[in-house]
Amino acid sequence: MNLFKMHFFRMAQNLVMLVVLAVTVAVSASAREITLQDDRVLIAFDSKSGAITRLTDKASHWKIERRPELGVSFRLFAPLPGRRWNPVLGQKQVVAEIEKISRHEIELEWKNPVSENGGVLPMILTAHVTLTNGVLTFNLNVQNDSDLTVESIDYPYFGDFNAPSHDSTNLVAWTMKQGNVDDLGAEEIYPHFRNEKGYWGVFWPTKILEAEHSPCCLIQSPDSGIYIGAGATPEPYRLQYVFEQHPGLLSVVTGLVPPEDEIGGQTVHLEFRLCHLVFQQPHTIVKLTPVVLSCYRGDRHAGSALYKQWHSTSQ
Amino acid sequence: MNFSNRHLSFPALMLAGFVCTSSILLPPTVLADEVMLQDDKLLAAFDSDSGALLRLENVAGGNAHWVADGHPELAVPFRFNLFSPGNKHDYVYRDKQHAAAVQKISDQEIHLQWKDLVDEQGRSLPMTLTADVTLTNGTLTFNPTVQNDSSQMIESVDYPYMGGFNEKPEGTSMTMKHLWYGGMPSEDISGKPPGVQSKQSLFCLMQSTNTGLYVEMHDPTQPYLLNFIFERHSLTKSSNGPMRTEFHTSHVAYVHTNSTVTLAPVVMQFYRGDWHAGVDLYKAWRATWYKQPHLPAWIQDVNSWQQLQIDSPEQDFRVPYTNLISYAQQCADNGVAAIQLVGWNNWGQDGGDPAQDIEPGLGTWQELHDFVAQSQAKGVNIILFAKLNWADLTMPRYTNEFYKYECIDPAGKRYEQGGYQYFTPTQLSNIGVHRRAVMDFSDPEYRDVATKEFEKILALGSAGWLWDEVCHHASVLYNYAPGHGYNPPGYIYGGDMPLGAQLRAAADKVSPDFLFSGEGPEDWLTQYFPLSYFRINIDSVPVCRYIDSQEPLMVAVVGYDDREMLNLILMDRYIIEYEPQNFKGYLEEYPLTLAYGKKIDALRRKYKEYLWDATFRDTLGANVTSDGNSHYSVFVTASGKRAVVVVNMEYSKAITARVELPNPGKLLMASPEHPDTEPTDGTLNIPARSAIVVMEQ
Repeated sequence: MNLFKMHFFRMAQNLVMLVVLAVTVAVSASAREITLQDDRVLIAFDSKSGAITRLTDKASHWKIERRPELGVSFRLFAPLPGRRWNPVLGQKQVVAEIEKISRHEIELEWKNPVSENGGVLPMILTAHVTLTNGVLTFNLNVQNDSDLTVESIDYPYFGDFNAPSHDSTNLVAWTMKQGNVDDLGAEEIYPHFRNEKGYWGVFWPTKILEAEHSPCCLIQSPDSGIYIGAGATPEPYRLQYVFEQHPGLLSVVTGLVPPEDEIGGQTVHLEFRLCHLVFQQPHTIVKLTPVVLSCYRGDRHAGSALYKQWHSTSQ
Repeated sequence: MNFSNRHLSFPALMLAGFVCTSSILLPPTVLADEVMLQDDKLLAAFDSDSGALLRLENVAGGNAHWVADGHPELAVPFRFNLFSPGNKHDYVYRDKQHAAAVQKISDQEIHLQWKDLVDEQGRSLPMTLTADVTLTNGTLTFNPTVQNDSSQMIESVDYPYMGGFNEKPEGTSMTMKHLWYGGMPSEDISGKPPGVQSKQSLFCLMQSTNTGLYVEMHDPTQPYLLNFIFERHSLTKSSNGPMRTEFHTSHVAYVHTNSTVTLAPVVMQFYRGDWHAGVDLYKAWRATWYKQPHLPAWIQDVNSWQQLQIDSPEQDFRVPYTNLISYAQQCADNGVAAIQLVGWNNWGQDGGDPAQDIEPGLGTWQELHDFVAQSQAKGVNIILFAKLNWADLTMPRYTNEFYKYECIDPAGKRYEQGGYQYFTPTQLSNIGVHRRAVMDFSDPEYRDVATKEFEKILALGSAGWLWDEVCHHASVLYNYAPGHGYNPPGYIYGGDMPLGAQLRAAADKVSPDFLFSGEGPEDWLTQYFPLSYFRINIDSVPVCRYIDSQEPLMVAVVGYDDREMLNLILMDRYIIEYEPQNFKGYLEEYPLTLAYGKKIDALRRKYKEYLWDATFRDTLGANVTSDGNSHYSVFVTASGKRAVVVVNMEYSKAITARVELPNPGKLLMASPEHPDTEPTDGTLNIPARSAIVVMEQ
């Protein structure tokens, strides 16, 4: 081997090592997140748990899901014959497969999740998330090979749903009254949040809005909003929009949410999820109704227009 | 006697009513055929033929003058509601009755009697209503007795009856107020007609700005239900026509055939002032019958509690008995005197009632017993939460045993309470909730069953118990089932006091210091459940504190920096109950709330004479003005020294408040965060979300 060749070989070797190192660094840095994005929306998933770790409205720079450590993939309840309390918590599950199928699609799969009190459950949950022209669509298939009934599945699940900023003055969830998109009812979720369930029966202040009469929910800040709703109508089962304020309120007198990320050592965050009350029988496969999410500029009328547009094309 | 209005036809009556209502503010004329009782405070006039109350007038001078009922055309003597076979209702009502006697016995007493009553079908019924009406020092008392010689049961007797109630004595609308759940709800009389039931309050106030009428069921033993009822009636057939307002008390006494029942007296008194003046009348009467319960020493001193739930009907089994001591240790470390332990019993909170066995999913009986002993050895009393009102329909013991004591409706169907939702999306969607049958407290046999269940609590060695929902029986008033030791129907609330007495007797065998506490017990029930626990908001009226300055009243604190609630608790001398994470967390989980609560209790210990042992006067006796959202209360010590607690409810703004006391002595001020006193001239700079106490030396 001549000197040139040796030199070239060493250079090439070093180059390969550098490339490998660079790739390794890049992979380790990015292995924690798989993203979908277009010019309107960015969504990121944790490659280990499959949880949604980030969601950003790129037009308004609204960081809707902000803190990755609070991400949640899903939750389901499968009561045992002798004990009803048997949740499967997505935070404790490892995703079996996560694959970015295309620039617009990600597929995630969780196999044999571990329940809180019933051990491993023979189930496969397969999520298919697409992003098309700023519209996210969440699909979930649940193959229940267990002997248990799956009563409910929470998906998608935002573990850290944020107002545009801590200083936001009025973040409101609008839902339809009796299916009329021109007749909406409001529930403030920030900076005030009122518990709507018996506080003895929830761990955190909770609002549950029914999708039965409202195929969509508009989460509205003063100048922009998030449209989220069922991608099929009518829904084949009861669907709910659920808000849960952790760890609680500053005071039940004022109803104010703690304004910082932490209070007294407790993390402050709002969970938002869609709850599918499927009552899935043992040894069956259920395809959940798709959930669509898109961001918009403007007030609730802009959000209502999205519904009308979707409704007219789905008829 | 020939009182022409008596036989007016219906249209004529309506026309007369229209005319009357149109001139409702005009002073009524004195009629020749009135029989009157009058003193310097009140005038009551009765029709000498029909016996109807024609006029009720506050004759005190100034703005207190008020003709509460003054329209003879609308007068009604009484109304009977008859309970006929086949559940058909019939009425004895209005202008068909003639009094057999309207006799003025003395200057203070009138005797009224109606016999052989005529129902709406024109049938004569062998029934007699007798009423002795007395007036003593402004107190008008109606004493009715019903003799039923007919074959029909009388369901209720509406008496006394004001047919043309004047609801705007000062030109503005009145509100109706009563006691309930530690507070005083208020409803606009001119809105949807409000109603009050004696199962919640023995009195109601018809409150105008500067005057009011106090109406009382003059019997604290709950013999039957008395409704305080407003009704709105059109004076014409048109729904848009003028309206009149009736007020009457309805004695739901179920007078059986061939029986005579002495009904509860009804007392009416006018007063001048706001609700405090009306409640003062109740306090004066209450002092004649209320028996102060024995209280253990620790609850009489400044103290605080934590509420902790460890299980629910969804079988979450969150805190095994053996782990409870870590919660008690935090209480001990922070000077919290008691834990209200919820969900310790089989099937958790709102499951498995009324059985009071332990929950195997949480551990053994011995483990729970040992925890109670260990906690109390640390100075943290354990108060076991329980309910004896209901029977969980999902439990085998309901099917095998408790069904025998359930209340049924007149059609023979079981009454149910809907149950409560816990944790899972399924239950939070109201699916699979444990519904409950409503147990009959009027049944002596059930009271024995309940006592046996209660003895299971006593056996665990706790310092006391808290009966959640002791204040109600869901929608059930009467049990119509036979075979329960009374002639049905039986008034369920009538069993509350006998059961309370029976349980107290069982506890006294263990220890007179065993504390009885309950969720918002009615005032009379606090004789057996002296510690009342409830939740308040900014609009809550501290009426129970006003009634009894020393009664242990406890309020939940849920927020993670809940200075607003804690300041209200300081202001109204409530006991703090810490409830982190909706009463499912550790005490130290909300350190900001805990720290401020401890400062408040330290302040109350330091100035106990002013803030704990003193007489609570609510807002009476001082005037406080400020440039923001402020609230205040006044305390008067045994030596007559005054304290004023001023709270700044502004979230982010400091305020300046001015405290004015008549003839003040030297004033000092202190606060939870600056407990050492400083002199003040009564002008206070109060930071946002803070409180300052001004004390007279």
